[in-house]
Amino acid sequence: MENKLEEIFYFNFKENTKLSYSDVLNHVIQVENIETNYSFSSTKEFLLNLIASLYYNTNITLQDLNKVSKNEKSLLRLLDVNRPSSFKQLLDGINKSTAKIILFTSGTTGQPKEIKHSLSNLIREVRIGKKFEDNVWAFAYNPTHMAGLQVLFQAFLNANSLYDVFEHPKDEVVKILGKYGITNISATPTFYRLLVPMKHSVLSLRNVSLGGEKSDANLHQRIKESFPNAKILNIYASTEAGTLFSTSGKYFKIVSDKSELVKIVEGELLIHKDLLGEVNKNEGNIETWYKTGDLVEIVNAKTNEFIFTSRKNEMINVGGNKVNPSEIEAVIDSIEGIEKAFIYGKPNSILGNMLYARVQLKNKDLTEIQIKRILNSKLDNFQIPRRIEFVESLSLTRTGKLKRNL
Amino acid sequence: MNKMEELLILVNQVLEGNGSVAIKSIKETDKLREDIGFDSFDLAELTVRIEEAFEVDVFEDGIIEVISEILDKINGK
Repeated sequence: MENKLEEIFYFNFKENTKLSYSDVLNHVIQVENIETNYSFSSTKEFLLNLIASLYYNTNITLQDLNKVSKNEKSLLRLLDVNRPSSFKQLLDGINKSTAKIILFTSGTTGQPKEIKHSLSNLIREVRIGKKFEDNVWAFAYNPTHMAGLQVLFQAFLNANSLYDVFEHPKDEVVKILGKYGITNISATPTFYRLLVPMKHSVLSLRNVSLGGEKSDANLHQRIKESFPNAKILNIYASTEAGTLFSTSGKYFKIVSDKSELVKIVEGELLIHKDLLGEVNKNEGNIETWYKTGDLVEIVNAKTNEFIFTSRKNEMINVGGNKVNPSEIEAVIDSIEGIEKAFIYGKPNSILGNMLYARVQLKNKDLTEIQIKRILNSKLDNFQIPRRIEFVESLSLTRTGKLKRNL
Repeated sequence: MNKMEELLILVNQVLEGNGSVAIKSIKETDKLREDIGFDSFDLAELTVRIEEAFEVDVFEDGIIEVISEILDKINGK
């Protein structure tokens, strides 16, 4: 039983072999070494340090954790020195942790918003038990995002192996799925769009879930053909609340344990604050009901079934990442030589939407590549407009705001 | 300028925009992720630039992984 962490640990412990905690954790979180110029090699370090930070009850922002991962004196090394006596003790320590994990999300005002999540809030939807103990996970999300954390804890708390496939080339992903008998994968529609159709189907997959952006029937069909034994699930999760709904069919359903905490008002999904992470006090008063900005349509009032239709606010979903156009415009406007920028999303066959910018210059010196290079140091990859068009003037609405609908 | 040279210009526009160094040449067998180093955002940008230049949606009916597959689409194969 190669994937049974407890057994490995016990075995080595009994044999009196020295086994460091990073060795034990490394057994859960695995990264296939890929000799290419693109690999997300820090994923593993990052996740290991996240687990160590919980064990040491350290409040941590995921951005900071990225830095810790690259630092010699990482939390993980601390964990190695003060070794818990068993994996169970490690799990207990983490379960009792009152540490907060801090994530940032695009606020509707244009300022990034800080959200603190306790572990109990993050693992609300994690299922633990015998049924899950032989699961083998492919890790296909950005680890610094909510969905990535959900997968990490689902796998870790069941002592399942986790193989990193995030942004790996298709060939490598296919190889990893086959080689390790992956049973579970959760990813954005963008990930699947770049993976299926495949030459050969993979039979080991039992659960395949999609989340983060709208998917379509065509993509479902292609996934079904590639993973014929898998149950396909749609997941709705947010940085503010974590996982809220999942469905294997077309419709989402408000289940009875959440019926008091979720409601639909004027077509918009509202979440009770009890389901949310803690929002920084400086962000202003959080009301009892949080407006998600996601518009839904009830398809069956009796069974509480609904579908997501569109977004109420201006957020643009880029490959599963929500982007606030005003936030990006503010950054571009601050570049020397730029008069005004306008950001919009355009449907794209890979990312769902791709970001475009229209830019009005003060002088004619700046090029598209120069602007993008400046933005590379100021914004996340998914926030950078991929096509920049220069215009003489931008059309404004009567109130002086930029016209959102082209 | 042949199609390959035009494609190299588009690939370099993506590379230079994401902070990478432009490459001198591409081969038909080059893989977009492994050899050129594209991520999913770069791939999306490249498909848009190809569509602008050649009026072909290279991603329309399947995944593009290798330069030769793009050339086939552009040449209408």
